[in-house]
Amino acid sequence: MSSLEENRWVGQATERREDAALLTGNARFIDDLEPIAGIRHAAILRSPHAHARILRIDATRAEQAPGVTGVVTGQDIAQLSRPLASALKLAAKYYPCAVGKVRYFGEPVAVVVAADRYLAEDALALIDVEYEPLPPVVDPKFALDPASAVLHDEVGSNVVHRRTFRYGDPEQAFATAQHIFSYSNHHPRVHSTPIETYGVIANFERAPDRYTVWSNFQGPFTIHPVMSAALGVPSQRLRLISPPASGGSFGIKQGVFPYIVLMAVVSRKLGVPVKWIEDRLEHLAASSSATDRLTDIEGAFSDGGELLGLRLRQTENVGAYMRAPEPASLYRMHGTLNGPYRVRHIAVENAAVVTNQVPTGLNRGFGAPQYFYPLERLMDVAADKLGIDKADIRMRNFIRSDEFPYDCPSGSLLDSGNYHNTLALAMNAAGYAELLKERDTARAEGRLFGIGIGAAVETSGSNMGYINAALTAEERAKGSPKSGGAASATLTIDPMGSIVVNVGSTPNGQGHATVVAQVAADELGVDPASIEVITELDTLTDGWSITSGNYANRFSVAVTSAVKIAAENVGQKLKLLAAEALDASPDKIQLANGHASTTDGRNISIPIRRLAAQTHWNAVALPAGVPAGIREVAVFSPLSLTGPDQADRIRSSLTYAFLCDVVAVEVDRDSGRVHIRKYGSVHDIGNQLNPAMVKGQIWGGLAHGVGAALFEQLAYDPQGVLLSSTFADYLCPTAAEMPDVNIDHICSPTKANRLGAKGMGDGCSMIAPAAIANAVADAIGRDVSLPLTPARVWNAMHGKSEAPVEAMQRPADAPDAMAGRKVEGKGLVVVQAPPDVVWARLLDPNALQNAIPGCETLQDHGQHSYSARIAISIAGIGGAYDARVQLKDLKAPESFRLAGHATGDLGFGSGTALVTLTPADDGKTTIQYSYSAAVGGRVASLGHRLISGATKLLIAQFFARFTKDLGGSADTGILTKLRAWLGGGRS
Amino acid sequence: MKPAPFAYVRPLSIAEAVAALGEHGSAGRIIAGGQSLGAMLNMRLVAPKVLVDINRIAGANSIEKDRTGIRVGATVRQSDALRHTDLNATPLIKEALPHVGHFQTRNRGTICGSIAHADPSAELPLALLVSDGAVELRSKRGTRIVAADDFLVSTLTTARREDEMVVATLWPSAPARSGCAFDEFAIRGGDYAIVAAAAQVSLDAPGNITSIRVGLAGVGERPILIDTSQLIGDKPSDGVAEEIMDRARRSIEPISDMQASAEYRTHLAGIFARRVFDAAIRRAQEGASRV
Amino acid sequence: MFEVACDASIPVRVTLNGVAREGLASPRMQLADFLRHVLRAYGTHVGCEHGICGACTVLIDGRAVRACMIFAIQVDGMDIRTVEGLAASPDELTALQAAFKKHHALQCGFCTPGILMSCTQFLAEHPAPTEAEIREMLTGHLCRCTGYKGIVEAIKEVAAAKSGA
Ligand SMILES: Cc1cc2nc3c(=O)[nH]c(=O)nc-3n(C[C@@H](O)[C@H](O)[C@H](O)COP(=O)(O)OP(=O)(O)OC[C@H]3O[C@@H](n4cnc5c(N)ncnc54)[C@H](O)[C@@H]3O)c2cc1C
Ligand code: FES
Ligand code: FES
Repeated sequence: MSSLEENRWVGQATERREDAALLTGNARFIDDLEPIAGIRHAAILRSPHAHARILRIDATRAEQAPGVTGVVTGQDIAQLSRPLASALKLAAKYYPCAVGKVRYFGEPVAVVVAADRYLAEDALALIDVEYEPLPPVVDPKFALDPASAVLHDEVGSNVVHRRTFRYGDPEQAFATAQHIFSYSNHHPRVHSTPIETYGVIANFERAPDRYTVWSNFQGPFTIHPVMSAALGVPSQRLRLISPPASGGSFGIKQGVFPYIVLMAVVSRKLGVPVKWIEDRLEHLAASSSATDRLTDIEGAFSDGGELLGLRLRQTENVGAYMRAPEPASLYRMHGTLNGPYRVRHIAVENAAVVTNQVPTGLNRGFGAPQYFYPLERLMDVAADKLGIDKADIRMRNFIRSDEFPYDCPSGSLLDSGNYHNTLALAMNAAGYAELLKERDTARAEGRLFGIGIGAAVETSGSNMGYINAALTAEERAKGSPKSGGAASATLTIDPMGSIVVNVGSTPNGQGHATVVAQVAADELGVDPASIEVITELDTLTDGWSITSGNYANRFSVAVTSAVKIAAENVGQKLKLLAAEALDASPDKIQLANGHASTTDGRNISIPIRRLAAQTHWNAVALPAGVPAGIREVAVFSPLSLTGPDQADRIRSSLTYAFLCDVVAVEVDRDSGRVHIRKYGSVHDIGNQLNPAMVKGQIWGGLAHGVGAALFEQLAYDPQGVLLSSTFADYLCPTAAEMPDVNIDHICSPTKANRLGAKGMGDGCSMIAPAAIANAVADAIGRDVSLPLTPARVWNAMHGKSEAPVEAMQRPADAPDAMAGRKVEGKGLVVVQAPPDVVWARLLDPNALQNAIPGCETLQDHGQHSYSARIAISIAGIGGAYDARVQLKDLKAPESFRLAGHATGDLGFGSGTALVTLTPADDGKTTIQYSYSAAVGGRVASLGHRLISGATKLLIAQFFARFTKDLGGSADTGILTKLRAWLGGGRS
Repeated sequence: MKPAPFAYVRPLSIAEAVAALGEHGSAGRIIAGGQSLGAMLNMRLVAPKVLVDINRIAGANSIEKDRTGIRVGATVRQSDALRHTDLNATPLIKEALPHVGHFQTRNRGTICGSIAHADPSAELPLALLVSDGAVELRSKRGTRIVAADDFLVSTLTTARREDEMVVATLWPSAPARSGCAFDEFAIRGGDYAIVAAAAQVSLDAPGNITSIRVGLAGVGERPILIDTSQLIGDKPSDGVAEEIMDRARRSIEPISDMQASAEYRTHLAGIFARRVFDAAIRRAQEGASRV
Repeated sequence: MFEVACDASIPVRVTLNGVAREGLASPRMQLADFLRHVLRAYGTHVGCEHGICGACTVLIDGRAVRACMIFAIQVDGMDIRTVEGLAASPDELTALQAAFKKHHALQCGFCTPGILMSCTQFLAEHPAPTEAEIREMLTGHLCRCTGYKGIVEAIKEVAAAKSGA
């Protein structure tokens, strides 16, 4: 490890070399590329159901549509590829396109390829799919219930993983503890949702079979073998190429991989290169998501607040399929289950379940927010119960600075740190002492003011082997062992002396190239501007390894070390060359300002360019030990990252940074809105390679943390209809929602790598939700679950059920074939005719046809059963629906029940209604009705805000028409208006 | 996310526009700012056969002022209205506009388009309703003026007939000794309101209420007016404000959705109704003291 | 009355960053697609196609507008400015671009072109904006990388320099 003071460039807050191209529109992203001629464009037909059997797909009409090359369905995919494997060898088959059954809203069902995206989308509507809806299992709670429907028949249960672990003697710790406190939560799903969506360009060539795919996949390249195995080709025949620029990822672009396989197969089947650019609706519905997790955590505490034992029960919802690298979310923190605390006795029960939600994967923080939230809430619960200050209870339990390196009970080795000082500094940054006073004042005035703290260990540079903790020691013994976290870098100097560093770290905007140049420039004594850096990866031409890719903060902790080693080695070579040229001993040569010069007092020098060029131009004359040309491949492979041991202890990461957030909030009594008043965030990330970029990562991580705390949730209704389907419903924070933050650092460099950097990037995204929730709980004296939206906070303040909508609830046991978003209502109409007249008209098919808005045909099947084709349109939204209606329980002329369902272009729905007629004065009739309907599909997802109003409107339209020549009055003004409107020349 | 195919017509006059609407009937669709329609087209929630682009109609982007009020033409952009000094005579629209979307969407979105669109949570239909404004509709058959209360029928549904174009919205000038206020609760700035409230009041010389209109949006299928007729003649007081809060809560039956339960909306409706009432009264009193 | 059938492609002429350009578009082609895939000006990005992310924002006759919610055919004859038109070359950044670079106002840079175009109009109309006004203007854009801090700082600096503060 070098001390940064010696460096000229590393540690400087330099501007980024990436920016000039990005700021002028010259950077090239996946959708800007046309790497091959004759590209055609794909659009994907997606499931409107959360859970259904596919009975039939007929693509004939779509295949004949203008500009269409062809249509590929799940059956084709199953024929031309193998299921995508995951670490747990489950019987469930996961293909990138539904085969036989759909298991989440938005799951691919078929792919259309056409001359352009517009034409491809046109043809989607021409594919006829017949579904048989199945009862959905949306909430992980219900997935645990053996009575629930099963997603994967081959598995027979929705619980796809279970393991228990025990470290130290937790039973003893709990048996003897003075206090046991507990906390339970359901951590919701969030979505990193970068502004650039997924993109794939796939081309298949025959003889030999070879796939070339350009995509913004970011790694980990452990997934490459998963993809090549699925495609049935040796790995060199799946060539992955990343574009020069990638528009953000935060992990989620790991989830591009099923689409890589999908488009590869589509290209093969149709014999054309295919481009697919995901749109935002596809992204929000069907890219990936962080897991949601049910946690029950218990802590055994002493009177003095010492945490003596921890018990965790975690149930991870991985969505419809266990997709690689899951269940990694559940195991990322496994080596560090004690968090920043000294607790030695830990018991864990892990389970993973499948549900009818989108499959999960990497998203900023990957498994850490789900873990730190309950832990940090528990610490506050304990502090409250024991009457200890929230900062104090943490100070009493933190690992002490003299205990580093600290061997965690479950295997991680925390390299260095000073947790006490970090928290102290964070309290300073937020002005803790003043905040306590402010809180007193605010409370005296009746305001709701709270302070929250969160502390997190940030694990960086993942050990390949941690995922194997999901397997038992016996299972591991049977499979091939996994371990390590290597990174490589290649440094070449070409015949004209130009320096090129190739790292293949597939950044998504983090500025890797800038830092790589800083590191290499220091070693080689040149200006970073003179170094070319290649960060994109081509798996055929570049060196890559299984750990390659951009995840788990591995760039600063591993990739930069590889760069440093490569540059050092090249520097050594240059020194040998210079020694010969300048007639000095190699240890008397220094590299600086682009020159190699002697340090023996003679002060003579030679340009580095010239030295390097010589290795190409004059290869025969090189000193011994210097081969021709300069091309140095260096690998940084930390040997400490061994696989899990017999006791299931796993060193899950290379380095362990630490951060503390201290936040003060005020909650508006009227609305429950949370205002962040003060925010201090202190990070110990070891050496900072580029402080300006560090700051950028902290701000960005905080935005994700604030988003997850206050706004963001990937939400489904109980029937599995996606509610957060647009950017109007998935609420990312904007500039106006971001608090000001006081950021500070302490520095405990690590010895685990060459630059002493500990990695960062997840940062506040891991802990802001816990810190803010702690503050809100402190303010209102109650627990609120995430996200802390005004309505939830207000509901909690008033002791009401938190979730504004019916919280996840069990869908009806008898599956309603067409269930979906629920709308309910009732109404009343007075008609100027006696009940028997009204009754007769209600049962008269002709009258019904006239009254039902948009009814094109109505067929009477006898026994009060009708089928109809109805064109529903509200502001042009709607389309043609095929409806079946059955009247039941007829009591002439008093009441009947009605049940029906409809399927159409934009979705489907079903409902029941009760209609009663009562005689009113003057020969009039009062019609009362109540209804409950469920709507599903696209319109329910996109238009859920408007559905209930639209339903009311349609009913009002029905009665307006129905009573048009009878005369009547409604309980709502709307009916009168509608009648006027109808009378005014329409209908 | 690309629109279904449509034909395009670009009328250069209102006569041409209504001729096109008359010809295409329900297959035709006006595009004004496209800030609502654009997304609906891209999502293929709507697929009109013909798009009638009114943006180049000569003179349609004018704001006219006379004694009775302001007439805002069909293509007047929200951002232009916000800047226009003539609209100082009808302050409620100016109060509401900053809540409508963002700087960038106001650059293109129109006043009339928002009202024609009739989103139940939108600000401008509420402002027009509370201002007691009206909509001027034109078709080949002629022109009619429909009061806001009659125009706004339900979710995305208005009294406009297929062959009619909204050629203007009419905003009466605020009388002397009057005040108005607009406020809303949205999760983030620029979002559609969970609850929006607007008030317009006038006082007589002794300070008693001579007219009062308080309305809410986001709480039903269309913006609504709270029945406040019994408060005319009252002197503004805490009691009157409480009464407004109560009436607001009693006059709505909102829905529950992902962001807010019906109960929460009802609660907020009361708070915001009271808030805008108080602010409007304050302004009326200040205005009166300046007269 | 100008009429185009749904399956027809017609020439659309615009002045793009000061240069007369022409390309074919069918009525339903979004301006964003026309700029990117017909005129091959890839600097304008597409992030949501429903008006919220702001990545596609361009200046049409000087106003910041979403290019995903306006059709190419609608802007025939108009003046369009995109990110490509701001700097004469990547080595000669405008004050705004240079400030973005200096303040690390971008990471992936995908949102950046749209934000720069909004800022261009905004700063022309608000020479001395408050931070609250800047943040309010920025609510029309989503950036998932930066937490907006650098963006706000960059705009503040340019405004201060402009208004001679
Ligand atoms: C990010 C974003 C945020 C937004 N936030 C809000 C918000 O907070 N509050 C809010 O109210 N709105 C909001 N909007 C929508 C608002 O910006 C639109 O301007 C408005 O709803 C419609 O106006 P427009 O001119 O764009 O109409 P268009 O989108 O062109 O048309 C809307 C509808 O009205 C019809 N129409 C338009 N003009 C006429 C006319 N003259 N005669 C007959 N019919 C006509 C169209 O056929 C169409 O059905 C938002 C939009 C976006 C993109
Ligand atoms: S792409 Fe146009 S606003 Fe997002
Ligand atoms: S810089 Fe990546 S979204 Fe803004």
